[in-house]
Amino acid sequence: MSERVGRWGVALVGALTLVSVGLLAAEPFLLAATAVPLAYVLYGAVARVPPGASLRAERTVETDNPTPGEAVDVALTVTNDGDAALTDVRIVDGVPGELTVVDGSPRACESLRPGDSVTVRYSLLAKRGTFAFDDPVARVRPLAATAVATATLDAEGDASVTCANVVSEVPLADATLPRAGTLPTDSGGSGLEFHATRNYQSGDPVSRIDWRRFAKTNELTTVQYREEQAVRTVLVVDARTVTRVTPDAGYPTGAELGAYAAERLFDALGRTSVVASVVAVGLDADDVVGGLDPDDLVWVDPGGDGGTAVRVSQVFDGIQAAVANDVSDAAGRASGERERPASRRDADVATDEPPNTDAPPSPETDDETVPAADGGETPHVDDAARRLLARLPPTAQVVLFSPFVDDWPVTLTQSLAARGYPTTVVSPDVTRGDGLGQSVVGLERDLRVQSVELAGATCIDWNLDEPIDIALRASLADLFKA
Amino acid sequence: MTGHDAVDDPEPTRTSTLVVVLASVLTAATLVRAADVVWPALLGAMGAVTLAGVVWASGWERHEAAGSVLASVLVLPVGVGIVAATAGTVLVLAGGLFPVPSAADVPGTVIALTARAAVVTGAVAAVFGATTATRGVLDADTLEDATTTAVRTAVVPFCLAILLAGSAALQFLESNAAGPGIQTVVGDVLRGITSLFFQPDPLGPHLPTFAVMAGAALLAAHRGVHALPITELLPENETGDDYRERIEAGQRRLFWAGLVVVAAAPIAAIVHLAVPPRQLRAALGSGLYDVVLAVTANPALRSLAWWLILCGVAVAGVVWLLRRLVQSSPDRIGSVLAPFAGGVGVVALAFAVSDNTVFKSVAWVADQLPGKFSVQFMDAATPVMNVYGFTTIGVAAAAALLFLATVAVSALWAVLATGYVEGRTAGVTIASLALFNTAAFAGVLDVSNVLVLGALVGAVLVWDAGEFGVTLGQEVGRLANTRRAELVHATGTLAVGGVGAGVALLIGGVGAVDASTGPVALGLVAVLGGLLLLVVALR
Repeated sequence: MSERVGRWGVALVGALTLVSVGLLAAEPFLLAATAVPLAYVLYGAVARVPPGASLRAERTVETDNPTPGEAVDVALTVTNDGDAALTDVRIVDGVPGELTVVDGSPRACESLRPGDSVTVRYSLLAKRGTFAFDDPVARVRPLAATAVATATLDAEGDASVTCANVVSEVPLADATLPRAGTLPTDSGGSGLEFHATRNYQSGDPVSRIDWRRFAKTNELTTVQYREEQAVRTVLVVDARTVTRVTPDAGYPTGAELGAYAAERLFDALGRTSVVASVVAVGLDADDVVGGLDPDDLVWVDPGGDGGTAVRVSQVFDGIQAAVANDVSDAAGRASGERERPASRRDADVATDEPPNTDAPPSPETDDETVPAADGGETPHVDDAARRLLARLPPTAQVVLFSPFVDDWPVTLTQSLAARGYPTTVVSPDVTRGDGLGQSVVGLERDLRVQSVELAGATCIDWNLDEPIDIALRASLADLFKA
Repeated sequence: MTGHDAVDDPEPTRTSTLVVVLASVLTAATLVRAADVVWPALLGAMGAVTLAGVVWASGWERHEAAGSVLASVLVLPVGVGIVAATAGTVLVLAGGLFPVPSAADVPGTVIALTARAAVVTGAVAAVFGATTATRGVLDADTLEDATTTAVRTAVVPFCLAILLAGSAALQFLESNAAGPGIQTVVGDVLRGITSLFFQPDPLGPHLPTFAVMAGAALLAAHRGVHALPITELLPENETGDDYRERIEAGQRRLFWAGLVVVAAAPIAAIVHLAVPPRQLRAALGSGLYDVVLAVTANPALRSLAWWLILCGVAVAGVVWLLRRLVQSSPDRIGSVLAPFAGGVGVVALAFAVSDNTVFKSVAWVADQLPGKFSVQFMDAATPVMNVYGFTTIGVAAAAALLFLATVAVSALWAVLATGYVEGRTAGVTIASLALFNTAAFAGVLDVSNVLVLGALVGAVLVWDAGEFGVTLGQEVGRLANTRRAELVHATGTLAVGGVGAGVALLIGGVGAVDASTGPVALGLVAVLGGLLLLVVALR
């Protein structure tokens, strides 16, 4: 198990130097002085790792139920169980590869007397999911460091860190959305409230014939009631490549944070029996299990084949996978690209787009020029947004989750406002930080948030220092009281 | 930082680095004090630190241009340090130790001088090793960059020094100021060549040299005009194409005219050699002959052609450089051009200070030299200074200093690139071996034995703590708390060193290896025993 390390070659060279200089200058003392390097050679030769060395490790995850983005404190205690002193014990804890150490170091080097112990403390940045620790590795050297014994320790205690996004309490119980439940419409049909009467047409239900009128006038008349439609809440998660930016290394990206918030809201809405759909924009086909819909969106409607919850969690997992792929694909160029203001790239795309659209002006593009309710112009919308708008049910209310690092969500929100969809925007602020680039992007983001609010949408600016529940609860409750 | 992998971008741990620096500097300082050569050693230490700075700045990845600027600025002090630590030390020592009372003392004094000089250079090398060990900056790639920077810095002063020295030598030789001998002959030949081209004999026609100069001037003018972006700068209009055609046609004509004139030069040479001027005059008629004579023998026209050649080449060169520049990124331009600019700065510095410093330096060197050597040196140096002038000598000295620094950096690069020294521990290896050397040579001097043994232990400690810190930095990193284990390890090493030193004192004390009493063999036996042990250990 123990391996020899030849590290006293310098002493050998030194001894030879002394001998040669001593002979050259006829200086006998230099020959005697070879005792010094030779002592080291001897020292290195006899040094051994103590045979009875034994180490015990115990790991504690000190933060219970962390939320995504929260720091998780981990403590690994290693005790010298043997009866020999170990002068050089190096410990490296097996941090899960997906998680980032944000504080402290999972490594240590310590001298341990028998019975002594050393505790390694560090903090990890939690991500959604369960991540298993590898066993810690210990390396022991004797005082001369000429032998190395490496061993994997079986760590007692916690072996994984779990960060579940959904907790048992209902965080949004007191938050109400504007049109939860049903929406009275201006069309006749079946319902409760009287709307109009019209001539009977064959096939009308017998129960809706106005029999009194028939008795008076002998004419068959059908009563129409105001139709009531269930309101659909559509949660749109902006997971385009631009949004996969993070304020700090290891922190969840904008897309992931949007997905967390959407998942929380979806769960809360499910408890209050609001019908919610989930849409993710900007994913690739290989990110999501089951692939994309034909229009390149991932759209999950409630009901259907009963697999809604499964499919929704697939979408959220897909966003996480997309971010992970993105990071591993572009590990090298990521840092440079991420610091770049994303708006530049999107502005380029926007200007390049029109000549590339081979379809002639179509009803879709006519749609774009429909003036907004307040007479303003609808901004230019790209393909993804257009497909999303085309697929939105007419009675939907939209909640958009986006970090607002480019203009896409702004144009989308303005288009939604122009079409009369009540819109709420939840925006995690990934631009915190003191860097010049971050400050500039932060200012741009503030401007975008303002223009979204001007467009009539409700904006929830999620400061990452506080949990999303607080931000959502405060903002939703406050905004929808009226 | 994930899993059990090595730490990304490892740096040696702090405590060990501190031990390395303290042990190196203390040991080096003590031994240098014992050798009694303080000023050259201090200058050399400064050069060593700046050499480390050159390597460090060359390794900057994010601010490559700034690193390149800093490195090129530091190259000159490195050269100064090297000269001070080597030649300066020897000079100072020679001034102090010589002259000796009798010839019999010469070998002993030479050994003492060598030992002291070795102590100083070793101490300087140890300072360099310890400085680089602090950040682990030595690796082959960085040293390659540093070498490139040093070479680029040296280019301008070097070329200018050759140019200045060459023209000064030409002037001297042509002036016939030198005494008779080979110098006069060379001077005559040179004068003949230059007058043939620039000051021809006005009595006869000089067709071949005129053809060569005129052709070269035409071709150079073509190159210059061709390089200029004239057609690109003309406005785009209906007549623009016409302009362009005409300009291109003009350029073509220049080129062909130049070629034809150059090609005519051999014919002209044959005519010049075969036909005497009188016959030529008869053949051409006196009017045409006078014109030919006036044109070909006119020094002003020759001078014009010469300037045309210079300007054409200069324009072509500048335009080529500009075209290269606009195609590169600013950072790249900065990192490539900065060293050249640094070289220009060195030249400017040499121009500014050489009037004052060159003579003082020569006088100082003469002052240091003992006895008759001083007079001989001044006798040799004075004509050189008279012929070349202080400025030329100053520029040449600066170029030589830069050249020395370049040699030092590239030697380091060669050592690392060949894998002779491991890049990971290069700094501590250099420091430790240099200290060993220093201690060994100090043992030759009148230094107390305890001091020598202490220096030996210090040398081993530098290596041990340095290697330990580097490995620890790779395996555990700087973020973890490692101080206690490092101190325990260093204490163990010191304790073993103490035991070794005690044994050495014991052996030395009982006179077991005293050469005068005979039993040197005992010491050799001890050494052999140790080597045997070593073999066992390595096995």
